Amino acid sequence: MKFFRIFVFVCFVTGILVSPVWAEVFNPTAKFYTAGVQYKDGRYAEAAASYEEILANGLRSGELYYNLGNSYFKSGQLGKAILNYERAKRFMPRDGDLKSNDEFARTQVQGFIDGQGKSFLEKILANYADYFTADELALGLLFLGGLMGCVYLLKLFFHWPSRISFAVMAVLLLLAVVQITALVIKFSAQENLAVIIQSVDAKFEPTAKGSVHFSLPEGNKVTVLEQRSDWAKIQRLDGKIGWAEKKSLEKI
Amino acid sequence: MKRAVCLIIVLLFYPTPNQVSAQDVSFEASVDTKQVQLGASLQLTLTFTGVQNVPAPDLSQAIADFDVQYLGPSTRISIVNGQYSSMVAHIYVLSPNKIGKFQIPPLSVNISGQTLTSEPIDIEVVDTPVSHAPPLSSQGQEDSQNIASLDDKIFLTLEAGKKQAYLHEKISVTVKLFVTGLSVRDIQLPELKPFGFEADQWSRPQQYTQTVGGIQYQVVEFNTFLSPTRTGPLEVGPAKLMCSLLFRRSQRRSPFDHFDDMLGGDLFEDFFGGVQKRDMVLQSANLNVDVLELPEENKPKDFSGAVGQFEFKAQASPNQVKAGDPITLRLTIQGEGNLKSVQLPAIKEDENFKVYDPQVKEENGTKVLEQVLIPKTEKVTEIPALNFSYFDTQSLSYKTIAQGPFPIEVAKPEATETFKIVETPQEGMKSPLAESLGRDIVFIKEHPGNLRPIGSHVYKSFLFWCLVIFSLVGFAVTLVVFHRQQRLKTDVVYARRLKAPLAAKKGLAAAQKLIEKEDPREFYDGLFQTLKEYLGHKFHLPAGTISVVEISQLLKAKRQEALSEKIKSIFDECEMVRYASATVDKTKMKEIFQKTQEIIDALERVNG
Repeated sequence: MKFFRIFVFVCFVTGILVSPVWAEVFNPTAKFYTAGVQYKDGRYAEAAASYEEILANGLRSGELYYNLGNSYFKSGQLGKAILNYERAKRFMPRDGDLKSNDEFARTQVQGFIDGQGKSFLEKILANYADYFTADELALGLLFLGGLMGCVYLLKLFFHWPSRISFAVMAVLLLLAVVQITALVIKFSAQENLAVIIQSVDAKFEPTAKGSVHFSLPEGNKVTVLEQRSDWAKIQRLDGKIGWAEKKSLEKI
Repeated sequence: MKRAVCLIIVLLFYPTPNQVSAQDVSFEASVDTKQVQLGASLQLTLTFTGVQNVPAPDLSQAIADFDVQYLGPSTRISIVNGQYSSMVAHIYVLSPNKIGKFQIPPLSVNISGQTLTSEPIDIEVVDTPVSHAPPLSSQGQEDSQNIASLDDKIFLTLEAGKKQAYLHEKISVTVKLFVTGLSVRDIQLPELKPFGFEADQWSRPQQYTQTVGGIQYQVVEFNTFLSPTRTGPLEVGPAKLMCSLLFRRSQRRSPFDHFDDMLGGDLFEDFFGGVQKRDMVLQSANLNVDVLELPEENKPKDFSGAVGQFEFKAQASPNQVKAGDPITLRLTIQGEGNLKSVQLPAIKEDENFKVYDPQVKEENGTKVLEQVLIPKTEKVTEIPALNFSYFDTQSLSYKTIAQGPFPIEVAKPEATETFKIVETPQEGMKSPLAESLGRDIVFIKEHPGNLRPIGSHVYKSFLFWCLVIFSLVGFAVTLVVFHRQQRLKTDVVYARRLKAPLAAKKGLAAAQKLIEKEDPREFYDGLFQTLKEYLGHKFHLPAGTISVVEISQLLKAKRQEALSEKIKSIFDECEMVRYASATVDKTKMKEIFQKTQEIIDALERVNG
């Protein structure tokens, strides 16, 4: 009798259960609407899977990340919800719904730690950077540069009084500096931000045996300082540093 | 196969095989055992002594009672006390198909014109449980006396659910493997080449015991479905199945066993418990199926080839939407039949609906189609009815199932409003009642927005950087042009120097025309003026005051004495013609024109 069992297993493995594959063209818009209907029906996990499928096909938009965040929030995955809201912010930073949901999701996080000890100027610059997308900042900088060039040429050709042109130039230069700083903040400061997608303890050393330093509930934001095989050296927004397993966090 | 090739290479150069006389050649056939169990095999060795190279004789015709498989040659050359001998053995495996007493007939071989014949060998084939070799499987011992051939111990059958079917009707097909008293391993899925049929995948095989004619068999059953794609009498099969039989190895001796012992060949086999494996391909009988054409009468227009018994359901949700919002239509077909080729009735794009390509899934006898519809206007009141027609194989008639129409309510599209959730009530706007606001996340977005490839950004785009470079280059060019014009306006020396070659070019062109007219006076006048003006521009001198002396002084300062000499000679010649009206011809004029051109070129090259 034994050999029969063996062969049944062999048959099993050799692909008896290969179901027919439906070759079809992937339509992201239709998928988006289908996912919307799944969400309305309360099938949040399915909706999240559908949105993830669009992402897996290499497409994204602010709305997509926002809806995915909602689906995760409703299916109880707070960390992934916040992660996707953060991603959505990169494409629609001024969206009211997104802002409201992100804030509400954060209130649900146990022990959410926000950044502390920022100077007034830093806060203003950070807010400025948050208000625009990277594309808008880059285009704005290009526009400012063009404006400065125009003012200089106007001064040359039409003999603008140097007092006026100097004042205008100074204002434009200041704006450009702010713009560049905002861009730098956007690219460097947000580069290594990550969200905890499953609650984890940060340890003193990158081993399972290391003693616990502090705990990181799901949904908290951290900065990744260094990565070593399965472990990441992370910094909590209040400055505390520890080691956490990589699988428990995901970069924005 | 392990002992198939056993070769000793002779490095010493000794009498070549060509010198061996034909008289020394001998031929002998031997077997490793004279008694063999059914299903096992015996080894036949044909030994040729005194030759080095004999092709393997084809025995499949000569020995009819056995399956013959050629294993390979084995060659040995030895030199003992200067005695040279060579030997070739061809080894075959013979597998009996029946019980009984058989004879390997005398085999004749032709070697270098000489016909050699071997002795006949008697072989007894016994049933599996031979006293000295207990079988691996203990099944079916008591029934074994009824079985006389291997074909009765392991065989394949092919059955169909119907002998007569309609086009596209699903026919169940069963392939059964019957085994008794044998060890079978590595059973593969049956192979069926159904020509004119569309075949499903094999379902998971079932295994049970069944008694046929008093013998208990182990049965492995494979099921699948076929649906005919042509009409007329069609043939299914034969089904083929590959598997391996296992036997305990029987005693046998090959002519070179002592070599194997030396090389540890038997050790290797003992490790595997002396089990012998034999691959075999089983084949079933053919099967005939008569395929009928579907009746033409009462055939619905929308019939698309579904044959069997089906249930059709349709469902649309939500049924209250705003114009431009999506509705999902879900069609389900369930039942017995050629589900794979059934086409579901999808909604087509029209003035009422924008339609996306449907997504179709099929599993466990259910086919589901999901389609996204977007009503274009608020005037749409229903989704039209959907019909699904099929040929019912029970009542032998066409049936149509209608679903819908589905009433829907479409509201006017509203301007996109955003939820305003006031976090901190502003001063002066305090509500009179202490109100407790419910809190949850805001609903999802209806439309996907601008779906763009991941990682694409404006600031990374080619166009953006083109714009940056273009504006930088434009700025630089404008600056350069501006400064040049500014200098032309303010710096007379610079302006005149820039003007010099252009003016000279014009004067020279005019003078050249005068050569053709053969007007020496005018020509020399023109040339003289051109050169004078040029020198005036070049060295920033008032045109009237130019004198040869002044020019030569300026050129001397620039260490161009040779040029000043040339200029002087031109001036002299011009003056001579102009005032002394010396006669000149065309060649002379051309010569002086050439000279002037050279001087201007040379002066342009002199810096400043």
